[in-house]
Amino acid sequence: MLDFITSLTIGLPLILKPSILLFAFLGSLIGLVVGALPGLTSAMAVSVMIPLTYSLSPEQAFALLLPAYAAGTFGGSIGAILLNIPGTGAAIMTAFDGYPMRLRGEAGRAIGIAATSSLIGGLASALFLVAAAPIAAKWAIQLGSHEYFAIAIFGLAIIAYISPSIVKGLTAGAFGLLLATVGNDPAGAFPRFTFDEPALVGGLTFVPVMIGLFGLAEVFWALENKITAQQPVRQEISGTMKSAWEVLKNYPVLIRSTVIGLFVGIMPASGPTIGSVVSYGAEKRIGKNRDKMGDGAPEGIIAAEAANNSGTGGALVPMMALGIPGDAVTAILIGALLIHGLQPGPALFLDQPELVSSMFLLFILGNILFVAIGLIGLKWLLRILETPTKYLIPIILAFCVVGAFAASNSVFDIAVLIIFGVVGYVMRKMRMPVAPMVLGFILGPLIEDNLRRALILDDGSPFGFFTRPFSATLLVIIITMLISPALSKLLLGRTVKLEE
Amino acid sequence: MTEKLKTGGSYVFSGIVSLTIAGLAAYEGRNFPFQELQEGLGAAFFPFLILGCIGALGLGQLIYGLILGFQFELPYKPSPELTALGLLFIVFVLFTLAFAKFGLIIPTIVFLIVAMRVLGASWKRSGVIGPVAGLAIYAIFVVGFNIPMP
Repeated sequence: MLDFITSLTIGLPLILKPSILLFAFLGSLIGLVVGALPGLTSAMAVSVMIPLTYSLSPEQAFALLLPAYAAGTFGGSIGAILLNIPGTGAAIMTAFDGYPMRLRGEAGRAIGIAATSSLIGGLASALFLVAAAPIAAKWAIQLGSHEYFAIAIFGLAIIAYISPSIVKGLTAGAFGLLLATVGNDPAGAFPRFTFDEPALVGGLTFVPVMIGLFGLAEVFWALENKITAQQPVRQEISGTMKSAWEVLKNYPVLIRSTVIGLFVGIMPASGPTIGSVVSYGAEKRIGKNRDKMGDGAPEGIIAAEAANNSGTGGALVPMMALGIPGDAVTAILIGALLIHGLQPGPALFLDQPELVSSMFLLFILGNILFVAIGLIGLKWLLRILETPTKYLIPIILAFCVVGAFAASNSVFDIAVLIIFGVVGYVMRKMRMPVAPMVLGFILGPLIEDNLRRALILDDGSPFGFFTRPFSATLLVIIITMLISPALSKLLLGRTVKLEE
Repeated sequence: MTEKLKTGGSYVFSGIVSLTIAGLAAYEGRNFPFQELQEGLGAAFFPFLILGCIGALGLGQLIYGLILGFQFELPYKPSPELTALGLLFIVFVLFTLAFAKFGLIIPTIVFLIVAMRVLGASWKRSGVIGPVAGLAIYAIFVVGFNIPMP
């Protein structure tokens, strides 16, 4: 298995090519722009870009996608600071202090703080990824069906737990698992939910489903809710570079937030958004300048941005080592790996160490590029932010159709795109989160396969999951996590009644 | 309408949707075989396990929504945004049909012009930006990335 130095060097020949560097630049640029645009997320950027990678080699494909992921997470902060509309979920907490700073005429300072914090958080997470992913992969070799099943269910449970409604999150996850059963049964090749349609025998094609749920549905939702209609107030952006020093002076906040982001990000299905929320909450509780947070304190931006960007590297650890996504974007990245014939997990580290190393390096490169592009090209980026929706949305829709068709050169996939666009839109109307469904869809085959194997090993007894320490611990955590909100509500209600 | 009633309405609605989907899927999967443990439990095992979960969660949501009290957010008030959205969706579906039949370039350019117009752009501007963007999409996918298109 790879050690730290080998992980950083073995993939160098693969990425030191002009084409790879060009793709990394393009990926960063697209991720940054899409992430910054209100209503359009990095999940959308990555899912719409996947079709472009069909004809590329795996390292070229990930040169486009990984920097887009890192850049999209930072890009969200620009919308949050300038418009008070977070471009991505991960930038929600940035708006609390970034926007008040902009109102004080300090937009440049706020963007500079966000960029520096993102860079340091992102680079720290990249180094953590390089160090931790091979160790996690080595550990994963020892895991059996029971453990894999428990980890996958743990991921689904976490994403449901952090949803506005746990029950709706769980239902969405179950819908995703059901979608994963479409196609021939893996054990007996019996066709399930194929409706006699040959295109469904191999299962639903991943790309049109993702573009539908994240691309089409997000565009319709943003359009209906006028999220994309607001225009930034023009303001001279200055003092961006100077604020880097300010971040370094606040190193305790920076270190705390980076560590929180990393550890939250590494938990399956938690991702950068939760990391930034937890980090901001921690800073608000224990920070030296906590009273000023929410009114334009630099500590607020540092806490949010360092954590969300360090969460990206954290989220890539379970994705690469176990094949379990850390968030919605890494779920899409797993799909991209599968499209290129690569199975995430320990085998990837053993069979293709050069490629794994190149992915690490591309992630590091992406983190450097987005800050460089973001700061040097800020003037042009603001121009793009001001592009009216009426021109942008039709172009994105056309991209969605062309991208869905490119998945397998099939018109059927365009129908899948439209259906899942509508499904994603209706789910948002029903206040049902989309991310658990995506996760369920990705994890479905892994869950089904390992559940069957575990049951066969235990002669059909489900108690085998509770006799193995690791799976038992995870399942106990899952059960506690899912029943604790209802239990606390019940106990709280009883206390209130007693007090009355 | 209070927030509580809206929340109740969303639970009732998603409960009904979940139960309907579970029912329809169970009907479609009625012929899936169940098998012995050693034969891998059969094609029906996992889908029906999931359908059981969806059914239980749907029922739970329905009951919770009924207990909370509910009111549906219906019908959607006609607004310029919603009208534009509806029109855009129709144009989009027509575009996908034309795309399959007539290929990439012409339908994409026509779609871009019409969709921009639906969203409020002038004919003049959409007439310029639409073709440029359409050709750019063609250049990116077909020329740049060698992806075959109809």
